[in-house]
Amino acid sequence: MSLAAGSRLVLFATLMPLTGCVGDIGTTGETPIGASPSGGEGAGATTGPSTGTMNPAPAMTTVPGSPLPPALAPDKAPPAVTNCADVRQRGVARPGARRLSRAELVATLADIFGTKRDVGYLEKDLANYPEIAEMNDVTKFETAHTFEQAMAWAIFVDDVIGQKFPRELGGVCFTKTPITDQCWTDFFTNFGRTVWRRPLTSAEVDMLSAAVKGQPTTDAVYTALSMLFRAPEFLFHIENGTSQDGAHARLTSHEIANRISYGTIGSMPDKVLADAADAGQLATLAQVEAQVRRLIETPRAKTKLLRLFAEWLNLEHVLQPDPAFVDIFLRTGLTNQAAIMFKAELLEYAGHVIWTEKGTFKDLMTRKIAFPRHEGMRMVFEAPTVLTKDVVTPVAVPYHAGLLLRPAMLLNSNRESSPILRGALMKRRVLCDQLKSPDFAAVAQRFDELGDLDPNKTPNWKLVEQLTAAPQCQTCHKEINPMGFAFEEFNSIGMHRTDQIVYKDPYTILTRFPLPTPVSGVVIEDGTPTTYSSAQQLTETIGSSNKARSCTTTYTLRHLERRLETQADSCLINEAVKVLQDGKPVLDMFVKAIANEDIFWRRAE
Amino acid sequence: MKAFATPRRHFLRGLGGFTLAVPFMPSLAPRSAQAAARPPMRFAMMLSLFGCDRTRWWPSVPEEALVQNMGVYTAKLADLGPTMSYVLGPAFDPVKRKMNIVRGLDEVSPNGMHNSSLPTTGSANAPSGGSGFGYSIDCVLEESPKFYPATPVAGVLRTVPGDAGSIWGDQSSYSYSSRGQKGQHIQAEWSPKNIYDRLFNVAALAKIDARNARITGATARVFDNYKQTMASRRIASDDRRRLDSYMSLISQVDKALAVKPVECGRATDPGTPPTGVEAVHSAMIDMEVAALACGSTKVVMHAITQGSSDPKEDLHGPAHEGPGPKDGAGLPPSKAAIHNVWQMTRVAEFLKKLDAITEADGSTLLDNTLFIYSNEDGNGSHEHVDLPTIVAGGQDRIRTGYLMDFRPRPFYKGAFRTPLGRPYNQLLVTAFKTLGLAEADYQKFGQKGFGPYDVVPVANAAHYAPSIARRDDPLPFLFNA
Repeated sequence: MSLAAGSRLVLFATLMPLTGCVGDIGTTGETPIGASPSGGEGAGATTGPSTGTMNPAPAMTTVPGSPLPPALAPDKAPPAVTNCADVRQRGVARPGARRLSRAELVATLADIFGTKRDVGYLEKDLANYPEIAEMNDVTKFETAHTFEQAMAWAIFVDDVIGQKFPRELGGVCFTKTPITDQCWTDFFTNFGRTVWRRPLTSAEVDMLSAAVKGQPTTDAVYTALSMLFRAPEFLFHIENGTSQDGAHARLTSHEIANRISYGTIGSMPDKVLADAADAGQLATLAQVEAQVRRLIETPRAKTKLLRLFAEWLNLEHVLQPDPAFVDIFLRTGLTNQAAIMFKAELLEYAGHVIWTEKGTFKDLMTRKIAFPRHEGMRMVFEAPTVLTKDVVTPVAVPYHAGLLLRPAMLLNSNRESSPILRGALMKRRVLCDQLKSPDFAAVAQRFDELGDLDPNKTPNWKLVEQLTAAPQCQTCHKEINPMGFAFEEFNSIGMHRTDQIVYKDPYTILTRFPLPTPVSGVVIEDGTPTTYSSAQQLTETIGSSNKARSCTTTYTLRHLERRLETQADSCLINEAVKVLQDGKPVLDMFVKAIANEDIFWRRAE
Repeated sequence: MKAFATPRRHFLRGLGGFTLAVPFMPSLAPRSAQAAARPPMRFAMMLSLFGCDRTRWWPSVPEEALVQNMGVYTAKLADLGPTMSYVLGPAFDPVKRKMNIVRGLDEVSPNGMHNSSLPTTGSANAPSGGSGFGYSIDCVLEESPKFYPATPVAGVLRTVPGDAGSIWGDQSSYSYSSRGQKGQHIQAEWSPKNIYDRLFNVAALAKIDARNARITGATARVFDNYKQTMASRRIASDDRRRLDSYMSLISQVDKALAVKPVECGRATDPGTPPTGVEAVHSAMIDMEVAALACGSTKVVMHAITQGSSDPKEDLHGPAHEGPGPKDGAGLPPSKAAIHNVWQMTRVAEFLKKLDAITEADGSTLLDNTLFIYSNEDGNGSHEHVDLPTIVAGGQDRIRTGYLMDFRPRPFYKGAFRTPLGRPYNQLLVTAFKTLGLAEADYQKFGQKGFGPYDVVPVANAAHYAPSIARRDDPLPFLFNA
């Protein structure tokens, strides 16, 4: 027997997501460093084997006759840390050169040009600077430039900077024709420092000044700008360091300032920070932490760090619910905007708990508040009122507790919820468990075997259970399914429900199925309960787990450094995890993830 | 309908430069030369996603009507009538003798997901994820000194007509290169207007030329400074390598910018990107055909993505829905089949437009272009076997005018529900050889053949073993060189 076409569609869509859907079940996760109970916390801890290594790649070869340069081989693996208290072992995972991400590039240019070029214009101007999937998947961030980026940047420097440079930015005498030698010296000393984000040496100023001497003014200005903006010093975070000590090298105060600044606000140091660097006041952890704390409270830092949530929770791929289904339930015109608005709500919620309330990780995972900015959202939350644009205080809601029960985390594009996607999202992104890709031959076989299944006669969760009952499926699904079933009290648009309603047509209820409760077999980590009577109970336990804290911290590191973690990062990760374990605000964890001993060092070789 | 946001400036993406050493300009060639010279071979691919409704895509030919040629089961397309199948209808009639419908090509190591890498690399694992085969056929050609003895204006013209935000990311293509890092996903152009400005707009070209001169003029200074700065720098070797790579790219950018586009009157300004999705594809096809005819490029990759298709609503779900009622039942076809018809209408348009260009020796542009249509899925249900494939043109180096079925008889299904054929990789090898590349020219990562050959599931391994053992052999019967 075979399934009716419509039934097959529903089942397939439930079981088989597109690559990149929320949950990412086709991808292997990375075990976060520090997730293991034996990993220990704090100074002196050691870590066991980790799979969280740099993205492996085979040795590359030069392409004969290629117009392109030899491909880059993967970086050498840094040595593992055996003792966090041994300063000589700190910071060896950190490269001393990585290119600016597109977001950093835009923000830095906006800071350099000030009011002359706003961010919106710059984003348009840089529309052709390729940056695929950076926001969503740090493993796809390439620390080196591509040919396409180099081409786009060359054109940008010519068109936007070279041709339209506001001369007054070069200083008073820079507006004169001809520009004097002293003028050039001042220009490279001052404006050069801004662009390269560090003081230039006198040799560098002399070298740059010599290059423009004798040229007609227009050409000289163009050359000067090209030299500054096309140089690796602008496009990369380059850390020369001061002194080498074993496997690591100490950074200069300006390099430390850049780490602080790009870690917090995603752009170049402000005046206070730059002055501190000039004065050598970034030499101790206390001095660094003070600067990080000052910056992390700013709106820029909030905007920047909230991107972490988009990456961590894969918000780019939140599924848009079936508009017709949204209409059936809400009839408020939310329809095509549901995914966008709920994503925004999730970020507003996180921003409020972390920045306004200075909430802990537990708060983040449990607060029963929401920001319904639309009548349809209010209905989903069962909130008392809709919040107008100017209202910044959330409303209390009865069911949507914490980050993991935001509707954005629960949406599905089909009429029925997807326990598999929900379970996989929790396992992979919130607990950093490893999930393998399904065996699709087995999946196909199951469909043939289950020809008489009917979603109109079988509860959604039961359907999933039967579809994944094959032994080879159970390797993963024995853990994915219960986790997903615990969220069945929310339908595919994130509304709370007490039973599963099956519709005959948009306005006629065919039948109702009871929900699976309590749900047993839920695996979080050793020592946590395995049976849950509500989604809220589950998310509270997840929020209290070391695994979730470690996973969150790991994604924070990835966000800050645009790379996967390695063994050599274990100390800073454990130190940041401990902040959450101690019940301190999440904001403190962000501070610790930046302001720790590693910030003073980079790899030496 | 998707709103087309025109970028402020188009980007000379992949402006790998250039004019051909001898740009093909038939009108400028002396008559004697026109008579003697064989036009250069080009390569074009059209690509789409979510497989096909197999009951309506493939021609229904009785087993007894198939003729075995070199182990391939064949039928002449001319014998199938004007409507070869529900999907492959009369639109193909004018080019039927110059094309093949190729059946029985499989991805040998499927991962069951949707990955645009499949038809161009043979790998269903996305190279960007680190596990797939990180080179697509167009990137190999782009970097081949044999295929491009001189730097071209555009090594590859990659397009996703009308799709500024496709399912695989903004302006995605089906192209991957490992030149910088394994599996770099190469972006594509969505606007025909941008292609026109980049390749054919005389006024724009003059400005571009002046700009390129400015950029290249300043590069030497950037290099001088870099050399001096690096001399005093003490950083890790991996970091130094990263910076050196960027400087090397600057040098390559200069090289690309130094090449001047050819002037060619074949293309007309498409104007503002049309709002209708068919019109965008049509305008893009015009640009692509003109670029091939003018010698602006020798490789075109035209992708039909989720965001640039009709109907524009979800296509993934209907693809999974599977076949609709059989033909003749008087019932409507599946949504997947309707979409397949829409896709193949674009393919037929491209083939006919190629065939409408007469080249110097009297042959057509289609004759001198190896054309492949393929898909990243087989049947819409993540079954990467029996990929819907059309091969055309090929300058007599391939046989045309046939339905070619590479599935051996009796059918063998292995671990799947569909009879298995040959590795799809063999079509890519066939393409390379048709285009004049030797094995050493296309092999990558120190392995023979092209693409991955690790058979999954292993139950299928014995079936594919003979083909994999001779992985650099082109497809029999199809390859005619």
